[in-house]
Amino acid sequence: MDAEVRSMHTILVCDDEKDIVSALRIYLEAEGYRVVSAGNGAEALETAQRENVALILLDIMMPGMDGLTAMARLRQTSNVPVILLTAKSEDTDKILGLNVGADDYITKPFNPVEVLARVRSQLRRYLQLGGRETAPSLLTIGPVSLDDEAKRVTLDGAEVPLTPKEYDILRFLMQNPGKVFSPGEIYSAVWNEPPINIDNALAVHIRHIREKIEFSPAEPRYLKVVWGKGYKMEAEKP
Amino acid sequence: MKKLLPKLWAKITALILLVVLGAMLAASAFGIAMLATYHAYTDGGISLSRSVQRGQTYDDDMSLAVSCYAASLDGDSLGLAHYQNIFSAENSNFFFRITDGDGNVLMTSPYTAEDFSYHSFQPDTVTYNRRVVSETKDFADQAEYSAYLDEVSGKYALEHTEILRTNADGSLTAAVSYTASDTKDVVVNGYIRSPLVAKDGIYYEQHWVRLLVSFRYGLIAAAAALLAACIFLFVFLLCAAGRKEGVEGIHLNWVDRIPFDLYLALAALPCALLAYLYEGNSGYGDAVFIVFVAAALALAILLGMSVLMTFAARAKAGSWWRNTVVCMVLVLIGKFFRWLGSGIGYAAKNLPLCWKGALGWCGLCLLELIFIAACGGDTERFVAWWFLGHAILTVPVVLALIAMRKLQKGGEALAAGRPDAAVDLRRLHGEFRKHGENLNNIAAGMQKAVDEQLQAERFRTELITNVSHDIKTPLTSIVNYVDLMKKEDIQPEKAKEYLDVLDRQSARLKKLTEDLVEASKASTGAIPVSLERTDLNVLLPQVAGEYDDRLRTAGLEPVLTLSPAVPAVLADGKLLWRVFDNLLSNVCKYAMPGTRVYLSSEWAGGRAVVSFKNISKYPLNISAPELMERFVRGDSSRSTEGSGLGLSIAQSLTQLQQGEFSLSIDGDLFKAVVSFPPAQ
Repeated sequence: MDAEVRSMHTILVCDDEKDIVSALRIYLEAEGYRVVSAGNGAEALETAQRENVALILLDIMMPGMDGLTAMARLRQTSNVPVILLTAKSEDTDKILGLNVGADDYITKPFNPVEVLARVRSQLRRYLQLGGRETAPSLLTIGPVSLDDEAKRVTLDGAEVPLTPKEYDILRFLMQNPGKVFSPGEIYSAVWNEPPINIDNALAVHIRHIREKIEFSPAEPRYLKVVWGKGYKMEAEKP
Repeated sequence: MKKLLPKLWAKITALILLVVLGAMLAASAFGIAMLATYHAYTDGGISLSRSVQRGQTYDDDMSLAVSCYAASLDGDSLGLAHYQNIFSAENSNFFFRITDGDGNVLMTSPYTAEDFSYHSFQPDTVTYNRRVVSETKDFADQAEYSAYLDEVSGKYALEHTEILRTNADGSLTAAVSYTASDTKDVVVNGYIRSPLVAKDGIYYEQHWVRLLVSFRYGLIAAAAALLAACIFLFVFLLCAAGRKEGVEGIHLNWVDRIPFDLYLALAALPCALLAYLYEGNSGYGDAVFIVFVAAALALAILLGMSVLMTFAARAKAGSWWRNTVVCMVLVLIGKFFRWLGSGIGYAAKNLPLCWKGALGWCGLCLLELIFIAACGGDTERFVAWWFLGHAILTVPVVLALIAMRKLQKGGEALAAGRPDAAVDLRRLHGEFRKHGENLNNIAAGMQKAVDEQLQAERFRTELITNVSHDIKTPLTSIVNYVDLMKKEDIQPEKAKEYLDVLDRQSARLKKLTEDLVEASKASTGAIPVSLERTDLNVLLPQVAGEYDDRLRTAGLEPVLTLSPAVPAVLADGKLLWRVFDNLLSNVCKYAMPGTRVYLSSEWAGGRAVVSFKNISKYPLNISAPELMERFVRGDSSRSTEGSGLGLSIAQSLTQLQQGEFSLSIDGDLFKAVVSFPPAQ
């Protein structure tokens, strides 16, 4: 995907705070997207119907119709990707938003780079939906793809540089998505040695992998830490 | 002398000496008393010797003289010779003359005395010519026979009577035998020869009296000396009591362990036995009497001494009163009453009010009945009325008890913090009802206060959350436009520095708002907690791994020590991560660069303990509790990033998981400890 392709896509930014809309417009337009804006939920629905919108960034707390109501209405007719953009950072809010039909969730104040990465990721999934080629050697979870033949890992198509051990750990976890492995199990499988005095060696590796494949390493979406038990690669899309 | 006190042989010797000297003292005291009674110290013993002349031997001689005359009347020549030998001039200093009522001399001693120092006379009856008479006689009737028997027994000693035959007309034939003797009234005159030539009883009596009188002053000295010796021995024995060779302090032997009053009774027993024996056989002579007196005296001294010695030993040990049967019995009685009292007290404390009241009422009625019976007012009519009255009275008593029980339950519920358990006002009347209403009002007030408190807590958390949301929106703009500005090519260079400040401070503001919400929720418990079996030995390396890079960037070397003995605990892994996240974030901020940070797990005191230790960058001139307060940080200047809420959040989150969180500061050593009970 290059800039020419992207420029075809229109992104709807919906927030009652004009300054935030402007900032997002600057970032998105710098990436080559066309940006339309709305000030509340009703306006957003109207704009989404009028314009050929490829993705919606939607605030929740807005005057008039709020974000969640607007999204529920939208979902009756459209399956355009929606990323919620809100100051509400509690887990319950996130779960509610995702259940109502959001594809992703970003809390304020957000990191612009993260917003762009997520937008890119959602667009790729939305536009390439159904056209996925699945080679047996290709393991894919979310935006992360691991090509065991080429010994390559890509994130949204961009290659991720991993060390050999990091690659082995990631491959082991991606081969068993959704399953929790203890550090000792992972160590035995990857190093082929009994896990004696491994201390935090494995945890450091995991942290490094997360920094490379997660948009927000402190809140991982794919390579998750199960505290006090081990690690797992998330099976479903978040 | 002191050395002798504990020696056993010294004690035994002293005891024997005391017995002997005590007997001698008694004898000399007796002698002095006798001498004094007969004025021997004033008249030189004359009256004593005179009274002794009329002593035992003189009396014996007087009766022997009568026997001698009886022998001559009986014609018993052998006996006569015997008596004449006794009263011969060589054998006796006694001279007698027997006369009849008219003064005719009937008999005298076989010699004539030249000089008589003393004489007395006394009338006596001589019995002679004894013989047994047996006769068989006929009597006209029973009365005549009885009269005859009376007549014979009036004169003689009856030996045998037997009715041989009884005729039809009442006459009878009987055999009667009796001892018949003749008697003659005489006057016996007794004289004592002077000087006493013959060595008879009188001579020896006088001889001893003279000896005694001549020794009368010496006797006093001897008695005094004996008394002193006895007192000395007595004191010595009392001092020696309770001492034993080789034992420090007071030693109680087996005798001293016998209850004292029991021992006293045992000691009194032999004396009582002796007295009984003497009383029972009072026909003994002087010699036996003296032996008895001596034995009794020795025994009394021996037993008295042993009693006194054991008493001394007990008194020295300070326990004589405790080791008595009386004391033991008293203690037992005391114990019984204390037991009874504590039992009643226990029952009174633990019995429910209704039981207590019922028992009290029954007890009161019983007491009244006893008094009524004691006063004698127990006529049938009165008792019947009494029973009727009390049966009626029982109804209000029971009602009052039930009401009190209800009120008590209400009060207990209030005290236990359950204001929703109201007092049931049905069937409560008068003052009880008023009291129940008051209790219910208090409960309602409490409920209201609790509700308001909860409401306030909820409201505060909500307020903080909302405010933080409202802050986040402008903050987002600030963060974004700062970021945008950084991308612009801004001149001069100083403006870039200012932008960095804005960037840093907006990041801090973001963290502060997030921490504020979290602290508020954690302290009010508004965070869902799902406790699961969690392995701290897995979690701690995970946490250390997450922070490895940041710690090394801060110039710190993490040292991980895991104890395999740590069991799994019940905790919420996510929350526990937030606890450790906060702690390690603090470590990164406040630990002295170039030092080590110790993360360890251990099994101590029945709890799984995780501890974080580091050396502080700044002097910790603040107490651990203050450090945990919100908005207080190790550095009072607050120049670095962070909200100061980290420790407070860590503590609240640990407590939400039923764990314990504690901080300790030792100089620059900062230690945070999180501990959990093991999972069941």
